[in-house]
Amino acid sequence: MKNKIFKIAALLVPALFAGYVAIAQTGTKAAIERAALENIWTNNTENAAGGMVDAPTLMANAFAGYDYKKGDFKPKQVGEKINSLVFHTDGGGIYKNVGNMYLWGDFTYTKDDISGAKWNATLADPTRDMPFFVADENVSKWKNQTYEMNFKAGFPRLINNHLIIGIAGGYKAALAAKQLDPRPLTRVSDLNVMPSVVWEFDPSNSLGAVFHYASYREDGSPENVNHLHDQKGWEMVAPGFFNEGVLASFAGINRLRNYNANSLGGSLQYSFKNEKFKVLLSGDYLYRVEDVLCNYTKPQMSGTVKKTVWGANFAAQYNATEKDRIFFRYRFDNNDMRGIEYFQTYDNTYEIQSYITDAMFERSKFHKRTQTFNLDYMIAEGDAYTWKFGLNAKSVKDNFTYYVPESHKQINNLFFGADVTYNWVIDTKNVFTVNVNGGVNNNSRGTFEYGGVKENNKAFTDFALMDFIYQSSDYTKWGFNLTYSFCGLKSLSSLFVSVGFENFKPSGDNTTWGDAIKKFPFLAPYHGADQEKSIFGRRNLVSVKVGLTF
Amino acid sequence: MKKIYTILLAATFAFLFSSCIDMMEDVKDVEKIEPISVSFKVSAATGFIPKGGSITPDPNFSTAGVDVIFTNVKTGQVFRGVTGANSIATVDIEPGVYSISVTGRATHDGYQYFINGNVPSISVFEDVTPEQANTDDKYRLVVRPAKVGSMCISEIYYCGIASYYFRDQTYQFTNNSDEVFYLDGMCFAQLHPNLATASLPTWPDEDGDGNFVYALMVWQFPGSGTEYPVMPGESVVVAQEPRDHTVNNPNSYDNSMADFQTWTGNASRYNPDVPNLTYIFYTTLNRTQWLTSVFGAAFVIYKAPEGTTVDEAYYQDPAHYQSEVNLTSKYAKIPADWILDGVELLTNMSAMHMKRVPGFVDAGGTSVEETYCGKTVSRKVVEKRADGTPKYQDTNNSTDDFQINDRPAIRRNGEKVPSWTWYKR
Repeated sequence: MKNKIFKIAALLVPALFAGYVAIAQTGTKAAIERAALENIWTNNTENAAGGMVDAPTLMANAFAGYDYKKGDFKPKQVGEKINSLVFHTDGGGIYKNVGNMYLWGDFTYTKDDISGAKWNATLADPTRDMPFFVADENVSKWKNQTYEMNFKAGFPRLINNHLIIGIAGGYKAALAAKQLDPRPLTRVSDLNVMPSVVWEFDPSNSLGAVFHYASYREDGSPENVNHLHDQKGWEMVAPGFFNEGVLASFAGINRLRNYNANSLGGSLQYSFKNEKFKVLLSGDYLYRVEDVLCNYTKPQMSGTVKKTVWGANFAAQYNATEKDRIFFRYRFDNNDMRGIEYFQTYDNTYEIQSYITDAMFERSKFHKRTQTFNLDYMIAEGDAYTWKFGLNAKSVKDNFTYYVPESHKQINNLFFGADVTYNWVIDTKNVFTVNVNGGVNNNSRGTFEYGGVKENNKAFTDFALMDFIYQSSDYTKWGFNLTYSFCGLKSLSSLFVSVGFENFKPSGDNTTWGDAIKKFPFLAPYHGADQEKSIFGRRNLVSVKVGLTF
Repeated sequence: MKKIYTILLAATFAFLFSSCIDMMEDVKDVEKIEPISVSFKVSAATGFIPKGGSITPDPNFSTAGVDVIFTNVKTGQVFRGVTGANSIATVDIEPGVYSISVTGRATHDGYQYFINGNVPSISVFEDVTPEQANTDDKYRLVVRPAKVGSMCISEIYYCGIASYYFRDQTYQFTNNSDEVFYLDGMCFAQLHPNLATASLPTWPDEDGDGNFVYALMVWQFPGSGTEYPVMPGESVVVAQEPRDHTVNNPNSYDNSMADFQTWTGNASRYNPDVPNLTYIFYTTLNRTQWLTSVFGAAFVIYKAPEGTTVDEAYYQDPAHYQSEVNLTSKYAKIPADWILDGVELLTNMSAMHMKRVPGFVDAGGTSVEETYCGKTVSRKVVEKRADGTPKYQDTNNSTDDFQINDRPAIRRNGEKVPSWTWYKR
């Protein structure tokens, strides 16, 4: 049923937009990219009413893509090889035929064939912030499918053209199937609703607000198809902290993990614009609580994650001349997550027959501060551009504390990157867009003081420790993207074919986390800064897309 | 119609919203975990211990100087204390669920006793003072003292070898005393549950607390009384299938010289040279082979006191088997007083909270930590007799008493072969 809804949506979304947007003439990839940068509300906020302030030109695109990722420079739980098929369509703008409303929608279907993943027997996306899950040591394949759709609507102005009301929402459903015992069939459903308002004081000054509600459900239970061979399992509660046992058919550790999360939040925005400037300042806050249960019929808590996220964003556009445009963006995110563990006993009394919570404590803290900076200079041409030069930087300070037994992990990374894009218009029908990018990640701190007693357990040496080393590795990154757009189609803006490549190469400089790994003999070859060889090899990403812009 | 939709939509959002707020309120003021100080008392009791009833410890039985070991079932962290003259040990621990094991020896009325016991799971979230430990039964362990025995389980090879080969499982028993032991009628039992689990069975109240252990399978050695003497330092080898297993699997080993086999009726898994043990009780008989969990089962050896005959007929009597509360499967009921030795084999050492064997049989547990790795657990040698045979460590705590070996071996420490074994006749 769910699939049917999505299939219908997949057909309807582009059709809806295609009908209205045929009159629009914009549409090369570069034009879409420029429009995204210039629409300061839609590009930087979740405020659907802000779409009315941006008043973007109607634009839509759809593509089918294939992504291939390979290499072991990755978290242990992520596949060493991932083949992905993607279908994506999005589009929207101001619709004159619908009372000058702002409407936008997207739909994405992704199918991932993953191989070489370890230490996850529960989560559809093991990289999401969730320390409570069941892990196994088997190198496994996964087959995952994700359907996602989002919409935004901004309604015509009210109260003397001052008030705009908007609403945004999204729904994601995912299925993740592990292909080796212990194997879960994990289902995800993620719903969010974001009503919003914007008050336009005058054509230059606007103030906006968004209310955010999200509900997330995930559910997976690793089962054994081969009942003759029980499997080892780990009930993880934090990096390096777990309960090891057997994943047997009728006994052993609890297999099920049922996640139920609710989020409430909001954000405020202020924007100013004139002919030369566009500035947007915003602040957002989100509080999320996620309960993890390991039994349906007799609810038993595995843990709870309490997360507080707040952030601030500053975005600006300066049009020095008609052609020279500068875009600046700075964002700060403070992500504070607490892991709550429960102590429960089963009350077998006939009238009760359920787990009773004897105590609950906050036992772990995950604190991440992220700052991102983007500066782009664009030489505009028509509805697109000829050249675009970008600089970007990202600073991440990632701290983990387990209170008792006391353990600390601290990782500081600073990434510097640059990119150049040239939009080569050969003639009115043929356009090449070439992008070259690169960057360097420098780890300035990587310490892991583990106070637990399981440092010889595989779930520490092969998982927690190796992920720490991955997270605190220096690396270089480079990539390119080549897009050919053919604009000679009658009712369409363009047909495009795009090829992209990215390479991540970890460096052998292991000095920052050298102390943390010295006590592990199996890592002895990697001690010190003079090692040419890194613990990890390279990771390459190749992507191919074929699509249409409307 | 529109109104109904609006009301339904509003009700749905109201419901979602209120459950969302409740969920957030539940974890609003959760405290950060802090270390606590916990006192724990060890007392000794003799006779039948009723379930949940008041246990009267023997005031003359001193338990001073006994080790009290707190193992956190989640983190695996171990905290140790020693009982003082007041029989109370005090340790600083983190709040949580613990398995507590008590290990030591005491002399009473001229006999040596093991003071071993364990609490598989106790929740401690606040400080416990010595005064509380003196008055609150929750913080007191009443131990059943066990006389130091003669026959012991000296080596178990249970985990199998790559690739998924388990027909070479082997068990060895050694006379660890200085007197002859008659094997006749001794029973070797695999305890319930087969796999270590945090959800231990609930037995009927009539059985009391720790007065029995319960077996899935009971094998009995032959003999009418004095036919199978085991001299000090001699050992007896029992195999699932005695044969040179390297023929089937080069990674395995040769246990064809086992003294007995545990044959369940599979003609293709039978060594006609080796005498069989008799199975006198089973919950479910696997006729293919007697395979015990490669993750680690739990075993005891026991012998009925003189005047009691234990055989297949004995276990037909409903008084001698038991079922879990509200369940029907039957398990052999073995009185605690009969037990000579027992070993708890765990999936890994952090699964101590999943112990099945009562503490007075084995206060700890041991494990090779992996499956199909060809490793074994065997008792540590503490001294050698004049004839070169070993004397094994036996504190009734397999965590301390056992070591892990990379390969299985028959009589690895120079134990002697009993004169009556089949290949000596």
